[in-house]
Amino acid sequence: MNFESRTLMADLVFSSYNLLPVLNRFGIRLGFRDQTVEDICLQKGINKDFFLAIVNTYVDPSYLPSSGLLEFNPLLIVDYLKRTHQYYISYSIPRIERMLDKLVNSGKSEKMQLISKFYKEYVDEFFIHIKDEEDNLFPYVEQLVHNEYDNHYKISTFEKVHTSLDEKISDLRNLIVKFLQEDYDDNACNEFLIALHNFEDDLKDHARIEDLILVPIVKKMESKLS
Amino acid sequence: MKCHVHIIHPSDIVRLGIENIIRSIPLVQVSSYLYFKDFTYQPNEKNLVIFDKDYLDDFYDITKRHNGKLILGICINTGNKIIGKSDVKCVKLDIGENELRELVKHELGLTGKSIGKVEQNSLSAREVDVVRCIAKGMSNKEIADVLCISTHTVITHRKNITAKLGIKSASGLTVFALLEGIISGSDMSL
Repeated sequence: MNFESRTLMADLVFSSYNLLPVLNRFGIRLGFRDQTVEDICLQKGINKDFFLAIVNTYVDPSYLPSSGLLEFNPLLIVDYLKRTHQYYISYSIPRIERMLDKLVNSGKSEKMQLISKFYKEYVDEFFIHIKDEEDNLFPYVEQLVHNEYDNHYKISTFEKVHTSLDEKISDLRNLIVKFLQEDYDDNACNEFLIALHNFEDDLKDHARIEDLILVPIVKKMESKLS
Repeated sequence: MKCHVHIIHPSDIVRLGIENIIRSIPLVQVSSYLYFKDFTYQPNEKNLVIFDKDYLDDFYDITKRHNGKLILGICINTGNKIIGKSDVKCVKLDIGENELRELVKHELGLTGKSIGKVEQNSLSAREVDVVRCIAKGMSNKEIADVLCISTHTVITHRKNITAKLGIKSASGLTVFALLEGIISGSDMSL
């Protein structure tokens, strides 16, 4: 069941709590009463089609926004992706880091330090990836919107698979669940793993939004301008 | 192999309902028709036909016509009587959405790996050697030279190691080697 303009905003939240941070990125906050998606988008001046494309892509791995839905201004999606990055940098990553520190300190062994070191390397790589998108990809899209076509680039240059990042995060999961035999605090470990799992899922959805919404829109602009 | 699902049913609501459910399966093409005469077999794809029980004979006709070509069938049966031969799956009209989706996926062979598959997960002695080399930061070429095997073999070992451990990156394998005591911290500059 996909969300549509008549879906009650409260029902949307109940069906998928991990949409809460997504709503926040749109500046939507709780207290919906029985307003629909359409009502709230109107109120907040949000492009309804864009909002629906995002939430549906986010919750449903098989959802493909129809091309008619992709008529919104590409700057909307750039802005949305920037906010998502901000959320990762200022909230998700530090939170997971705090949990990991708690876990490592509960173990007091050198091997625990290895896990922590591995995660920090991952975070460094993740920041580089984000910076690359902010410094190169987003300005490129903004140029296209202003009808400036730079033939040095193509969206395909950026269609970088997030594989190495995905790999590292699933490696971390596997290392802990399959091979950790140290002394550690159970609750600290569970908290960390659940937070990591949620972050991993969120990243997958984020990557899907880039691939299914941003890339097709940019390709369209490229073919118009070239 | 691409998968193509054909839905053939005289009732608009049934046909569109099924179509809607099937469209949510990734990597599957969907066509739908009112009558069997409009059915077009897709060569080079897996063909699955979901049809009304009144079209059962038509279905057998086309399977005969495309002699030996695999066409899978799911027959929608409104009554309680089970009809058809064993090579056609029969489902009742009150089948649940998820149940139908899973059945179609199963018929098309799209069901993912089952969880809890029994696999031999311990590394062989040779694989342990390869992990040790990776942890020391050696390239595939260097590993091949040290172990006197071809780089191609090294790559095969790496694939198998990853399949067994679920760890892909070199740095992840390094942490694994340290956790398992395959190398010690003094063997490498951490």
